[in-house]
Amino acid sequence: MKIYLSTEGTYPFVLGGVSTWVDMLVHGLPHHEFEIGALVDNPHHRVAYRPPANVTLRPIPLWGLELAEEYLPRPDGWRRAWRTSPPVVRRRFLPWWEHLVDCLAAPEADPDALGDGLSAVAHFAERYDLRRALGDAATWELLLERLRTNPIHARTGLAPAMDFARTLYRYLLPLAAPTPVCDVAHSSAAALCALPAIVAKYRYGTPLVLTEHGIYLRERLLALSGKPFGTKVLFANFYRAVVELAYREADVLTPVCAYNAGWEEELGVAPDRIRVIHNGVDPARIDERPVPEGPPTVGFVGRIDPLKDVVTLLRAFARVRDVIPDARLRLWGPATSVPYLGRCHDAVRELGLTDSVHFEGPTNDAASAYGSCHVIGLSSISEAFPYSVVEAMLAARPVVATGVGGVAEALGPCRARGVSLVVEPGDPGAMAGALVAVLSASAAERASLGASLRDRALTMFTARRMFDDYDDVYRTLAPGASRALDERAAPRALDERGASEGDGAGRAGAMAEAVS
Amino acid sequence: MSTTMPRVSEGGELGLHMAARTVVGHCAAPLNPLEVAVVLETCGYTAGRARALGTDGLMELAQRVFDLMPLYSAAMSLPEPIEVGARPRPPGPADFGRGLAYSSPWLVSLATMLIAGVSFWSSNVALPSIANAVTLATAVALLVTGPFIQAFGRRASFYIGLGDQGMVVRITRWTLELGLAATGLACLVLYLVRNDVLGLGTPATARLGLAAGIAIAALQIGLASFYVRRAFLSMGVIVVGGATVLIWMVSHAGSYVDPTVLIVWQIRVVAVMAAVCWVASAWWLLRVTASAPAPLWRPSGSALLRAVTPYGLYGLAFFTIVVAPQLVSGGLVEGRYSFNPPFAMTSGVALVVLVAILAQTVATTEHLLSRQFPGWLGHFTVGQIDEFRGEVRRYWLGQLAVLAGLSVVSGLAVVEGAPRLGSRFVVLRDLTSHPGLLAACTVGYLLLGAGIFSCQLLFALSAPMRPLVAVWSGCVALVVASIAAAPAGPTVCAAAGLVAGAGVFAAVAVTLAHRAFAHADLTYYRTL
Amino acid sequence: MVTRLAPSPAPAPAPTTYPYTGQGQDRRRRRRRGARARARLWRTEVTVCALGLVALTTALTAWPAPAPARPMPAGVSLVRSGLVMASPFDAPVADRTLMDDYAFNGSARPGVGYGAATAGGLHIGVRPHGGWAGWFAVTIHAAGAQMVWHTTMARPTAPVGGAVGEAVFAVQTASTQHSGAINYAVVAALSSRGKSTWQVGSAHGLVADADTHVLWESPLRADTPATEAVTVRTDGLRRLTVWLGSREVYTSDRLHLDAPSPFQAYLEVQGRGIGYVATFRNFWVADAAPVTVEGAPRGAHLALSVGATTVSAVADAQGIATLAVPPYAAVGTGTLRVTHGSRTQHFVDLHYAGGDILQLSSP
Repeated sequence: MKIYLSTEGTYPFVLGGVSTWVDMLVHGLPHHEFEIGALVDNPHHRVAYRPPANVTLRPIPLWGLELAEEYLPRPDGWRRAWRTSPPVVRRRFLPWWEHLVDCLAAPEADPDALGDGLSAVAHFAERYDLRRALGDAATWELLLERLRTNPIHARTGLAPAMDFARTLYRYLLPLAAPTPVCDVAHSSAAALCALPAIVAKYRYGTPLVLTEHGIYLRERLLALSGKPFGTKVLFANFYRAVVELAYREADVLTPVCAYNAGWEEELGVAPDRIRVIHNGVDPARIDERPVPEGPPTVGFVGRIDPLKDVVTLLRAFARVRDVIPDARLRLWGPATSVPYLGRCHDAVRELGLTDSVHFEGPTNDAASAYGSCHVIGLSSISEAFPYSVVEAMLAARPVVATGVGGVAEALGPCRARGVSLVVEPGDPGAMAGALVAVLSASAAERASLGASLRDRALTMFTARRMFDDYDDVYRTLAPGASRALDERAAPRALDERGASEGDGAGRAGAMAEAVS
Repeated sequence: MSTTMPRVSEGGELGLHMAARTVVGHCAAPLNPLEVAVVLETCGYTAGRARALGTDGLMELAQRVFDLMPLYSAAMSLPEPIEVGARPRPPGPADFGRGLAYSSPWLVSLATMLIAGVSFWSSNVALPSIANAVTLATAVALLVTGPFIQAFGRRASFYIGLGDQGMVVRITRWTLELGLAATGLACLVLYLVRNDVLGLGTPATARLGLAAGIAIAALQIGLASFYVRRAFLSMGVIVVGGATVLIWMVSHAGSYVDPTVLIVWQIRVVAVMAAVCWVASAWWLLRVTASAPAPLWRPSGSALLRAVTPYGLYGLAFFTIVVAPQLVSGGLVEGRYSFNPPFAMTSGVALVVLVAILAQTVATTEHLLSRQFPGWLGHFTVGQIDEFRGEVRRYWLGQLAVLAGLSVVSGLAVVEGAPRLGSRFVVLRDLTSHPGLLAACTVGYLLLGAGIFSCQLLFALSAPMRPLVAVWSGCVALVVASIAAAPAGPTVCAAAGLVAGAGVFAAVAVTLAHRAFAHADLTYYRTL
Repeated sequence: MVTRLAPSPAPAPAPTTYPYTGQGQDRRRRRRRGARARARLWRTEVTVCALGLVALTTALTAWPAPAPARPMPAGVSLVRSGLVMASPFDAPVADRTLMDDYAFNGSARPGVGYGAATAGGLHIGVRPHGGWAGWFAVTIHAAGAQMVWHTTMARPTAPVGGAVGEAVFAVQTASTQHSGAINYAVVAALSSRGKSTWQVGSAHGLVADADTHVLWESPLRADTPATEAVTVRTDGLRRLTVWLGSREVYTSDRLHLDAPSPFQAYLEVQGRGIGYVATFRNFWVADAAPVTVEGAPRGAHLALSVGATTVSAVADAQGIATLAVPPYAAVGTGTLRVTHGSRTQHFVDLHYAGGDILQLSSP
């Protein structure tokens, strides 16, 4: 089976959680052929992961190129540019461009309308030169006019408006890539990388799987939070429209934790289209470790980062030391923010923990790190489905963590001496109480707790289980794609848009109208 | 980011207000409750905490907090303050001085000619056969290398901006080296046609012409890397070194400089300079410093070709306008060529007017996209688009006025001043005999300068098609005018072609540039 | 009108032509060198090509030697050549080749003046015309004041009637290039009204208004020789000596020639109202210094025989002998005889020139 797997700023160029997930998936399902559509910012990247033999890499750089054809193989670039004359642009592109701009300028975007617009743009890009069309005077004048007559955008600075307009071309570049031909399209985010997969669904009826590791819209809104209001409206509308379009067109969504599923439901996805597939870890990498000798030790494995809220862990540990004077805290991981690392060291000094807290730095051997501790602490204020929690579980170590993201579903209802090991974020007292409960328990109790967590991890969070789940999704969807083709409704025109969800034929009809 | 959380015990309305203040601390004007929910979650508000505050969950909490935002966020109730940037400063004397650096090889060549009476590739040789061969070879070299150098300049600048030295090397191979090979082939064809087929000149001068063409092409191409890297100091060292050798040789030749010895030395010096430029480019200017590999994906050759073709075609037509009058002055319209010393001398002197114009061109274009446009765009809002266009148009007209002033000063200096120098410098002695020709050539090159100025601005704005239209219009006008003036003789023919070609080039280029600047927003937007 | 279009079934996968690395459908092989290795290779290529460029231009710009190579008899090697320019004009030479050493110009209108080198010599002529017209071949190269200038010059033997015809051999300052002055020493064969004369003179001034002085002339007769071997030696300032054949016909060291060296030779014809041609053969320019022979046995007697003339010298303690060949025979072919005791060596067909330094090898 041929799978088109799209990524954005991750595999195989950037180290990280999503890249690791893709790498595991392509290695774990060698009987499938994967075509990786990798959206990157520019073509100048090292390969951080070596793709196996069943992978073909199709990078889609958004910047670092003058013409799309430099890196997006399309034949007859000269002829396509020649064909894209101003009359053709006015007749075949401008109506859909107007439609698209209206979507984006409105306070609340309509994903259905956006889908029509994007699919028409993709169809246009099959035969014509998208850059020429977007560079046409009428295209710009229309966008400008819409902005000028909008009470919000008229007061936006010309620089951010221009930035948005020019960025829009880059964001639409994935539509200029050849439409993938595959059995199943699988997008690793509800983001720009989903666009080629969505076009494949419109064009060929290819079923679409959508996996969210983090909530893309959430991340984009956070990144825009400090921007001027007008800029935020333009970009946020675009991102939200793309996200909701991806949600709408996905045949199944496979978030990596139920927490993400909650967000997806809030954003309008029907629960029956969501199937949580937790990230898995290869148990062979993390074996059960014997309880270490020595003083009671709390461990932390992760980035020294504000989102990890290490300061709260330090405050909690200070309270633990009041009860267990010989306790130790060891922290492994790189510091991504030097100022925040400074704050952590200041906190250590203020709390008088200089003899008992040790910053070990980055490590390649997480298993040994877990093995040298009695309990693992995680005080994050924001998480998705953290690998570190599952790895600690496989090492048979109790974990005290904040109940954010998918942490609670990873740990389950675990307690020590009646105290829940899942606590509220930003509460050093609660965290300290849970840590004391674990450290003051007997070795047998801790071993039992660790063993139960390991069993839970081996049952629910192994790599093999993850592979099997995805394989099942692919196999289920592939024959389903054929059924969906037969069940498509009649195509519709621009002014006859109905609220038909996942109407591939309607998209195709809209595309046909664009070029008739 | 603050990680101070309200305690669970602070529930109810107070908790909502504290949550609102927390949100405002991160985001002054949230778009909608969804954005509020995202900020709250980042600040540690879980579903449990939301329920403790009396809501059903995070989304309901976000809705209630969003309703409170106007109380805490001034940005929500008042029009958003517009941050207006300062107006960018126009180019000044320092920019002009840096622009002069671009003409340094030419200035050194002029100085050498005044000091020693000879120069690198134009001289007062006494032998017509040598002059014929070298002039024709120079014309071929400029015509063939022009397109490749323009293509290289465009694409190499692009990759230098991306910091991709590997691709810069690759582009160098595919443009400059290919250009040198093409020029060598063209010069070889010229040699074979003149020497073996037509039997023109002498065997020795024919070989000289071939060597001159290759050496001049190699030097032109070798200097291209220095221009792209703005390595003017090192370029100056190389050029001054070559000039020093020539001046030394001439000064030690006594009262008679054997023209054959002179041209041989000139060509060899040019070849050595070219070799030094190439080696310096490969070992220093274009060296790959980091251990990073080349980009995994090379761009498609046909797409690259499509991207640089307009620049290459511009180079071809531009150098046609530059060299065609020289050939026409030798009788090209009549199907022959014989070096025309008066035209060569007067046109060579008139070219000096381009020094100031090129410096002003560089000063104006260098920061157009990095300083001028960002400054203008940051100074206006979307609703003030007409004011923005007016500002840019005023800037453009101001630069045109500066250009016009420079042109007048340069033109007068050449037309009035150069003949007066004839008594001092032997090489300029005959200028007094051709005042009309000098004036015509000066006007022609001033017009050419105006066209260059406009086209370089358009290139800086990534609009290559307009300069292409302008320069090829000039080419057509040159051909038509030359043919029409043929009965008046080669010299008049050449002057008419130069003035007409440069005039049409300038008129079209200035008009198209004016339209580009009149709709500066569209022009800038198109640099996608 | 909307064309109803159902989604098409997925086509068969087309062959991928992605320019990327990767497995699967990309079958194109790529060398996996790093950018640095490629750059190193490129640098080497460029350096080699740069050196090649210099070598190529050096080779292409090599100008033909103004004097032909002179083969030496066995036992003699030429250490330094005193022959600066030489054109025997005893065989046809193509115009294109001729123009590597001579430039043609003159006051004649286009098509009136002409020059051609045949087996009979270099013919410089003007076709029938009205008024004065001249045409010349001037040497591209120049030579200094210590040189001897020689050519065999011939005028037509046919009478010119009332017109005037002149064959001219001039040695002119090369500084005309800068000053425009045509100061020169000249030997001319002048014919008019059925009589001819040979003249020695000088000129001074600019092209348009130069003053000409006749310093010597032979009697104006009808039977004046049409051909003479003309040899000129001058310093361009005060000295001038002229030989016709072996006869010294003029010498002075008190002139005011004002013609600074180096000099160029003008092989010229002038005519008024008539077509006229001058023929030149055996043109050479050589050092006025003696021929130096090194490597001779100490005290050996050396004799150089050229035709009826013999020049001799005795080798000194260093084995060096100087043979003072007369200026009018400064270039020639002869036999060198070296006698030392009872032993005599003969070096036949020795092409010598004044100022040569010859090295005899040990027998």
